[in-house]
Amino acid sequence: MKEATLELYLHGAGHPQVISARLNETLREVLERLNALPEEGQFVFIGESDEAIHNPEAESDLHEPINIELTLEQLELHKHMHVHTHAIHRVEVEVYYNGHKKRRFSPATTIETVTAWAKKKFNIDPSAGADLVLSLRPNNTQPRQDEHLGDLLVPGSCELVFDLVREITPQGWR
Amino acid sequence: MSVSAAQRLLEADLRCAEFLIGISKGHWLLVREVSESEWPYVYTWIYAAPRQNSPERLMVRWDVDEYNSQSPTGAFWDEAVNNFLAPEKWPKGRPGSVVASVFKVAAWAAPGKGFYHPYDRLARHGHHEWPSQNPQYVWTEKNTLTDFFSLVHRWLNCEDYLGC
Repeated sequence: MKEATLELYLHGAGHPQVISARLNETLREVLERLNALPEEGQFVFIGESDEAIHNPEAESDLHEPINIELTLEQLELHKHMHVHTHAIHRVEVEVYYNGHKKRRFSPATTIETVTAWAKKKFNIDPSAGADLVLSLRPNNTQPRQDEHLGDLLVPGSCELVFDLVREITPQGWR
Repeated sequence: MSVSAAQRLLEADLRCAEFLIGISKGHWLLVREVSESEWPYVYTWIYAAPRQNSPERLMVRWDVDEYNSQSPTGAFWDEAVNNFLAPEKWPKGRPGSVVASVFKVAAWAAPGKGFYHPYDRLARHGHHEWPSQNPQYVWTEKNTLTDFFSLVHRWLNCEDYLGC
């Protein structure tokens, strides 16, 4: 009988990659095959963390790295889909708007979650803040909503600083 | 760049994780595979937040001619009549919002045929000041069509989107 395979998204080695793996493989075997095993002091996370939406007042997420000796089936990767390797334990995020707010996020957190958290922390009414987006310092790039914090880090860094800004409304009548 | 090379480049971008993650999250979907017979047009569904009497998804026709050395242009499309979606059926935004601006169907050069945004080639034409005003939205060869899908999806899923 053919073994069940999964299509997963591997983060942590440049742009996320699409990978295929068998349900009965351990995550170590998969990462080894892809030359993506974590080094000393690095971690592997799975899934996406949206803790900050549910618990915005906490100083840090609780999302923990997983044991890569488990199989993909045991890790329920058919549900979690995302694997983050070469990851640091927490990303220190600062967001500036009227003042600034800080939190330590899982690297598996999306920009959408950080944006929603920032709006809660700054007490921004959702209807008044629909056009607020995160702009990453120092280049003022605006990451897509589905990008993960871990993907945005410069190698060796553990900090990201954002401004919460109004999306520009194009002007002109031509 | 020849059409076939442009098509190969787009097809490669549509096999990338960034595009497939959007599909897995239910944000967008190709209506049908990219084909040489339809080139340079590509059709996608973009899913929208629930609003009264409004569809759960809208079809967008993208013109990706010379992908990716020039930016695409896209517009909502009515498959039943094989033409641009009638202006009165376009998504509405809160007055003064970005959503209202990018989906406006009057008072610019290509109303109802493009998105009024610096990424859109029809809108950018004639707005020579936009690159300096909006440097983060200057289309470069590093961009992919997924970047534009992501914006349209966000506009259709924020609180400023009022429905169609």
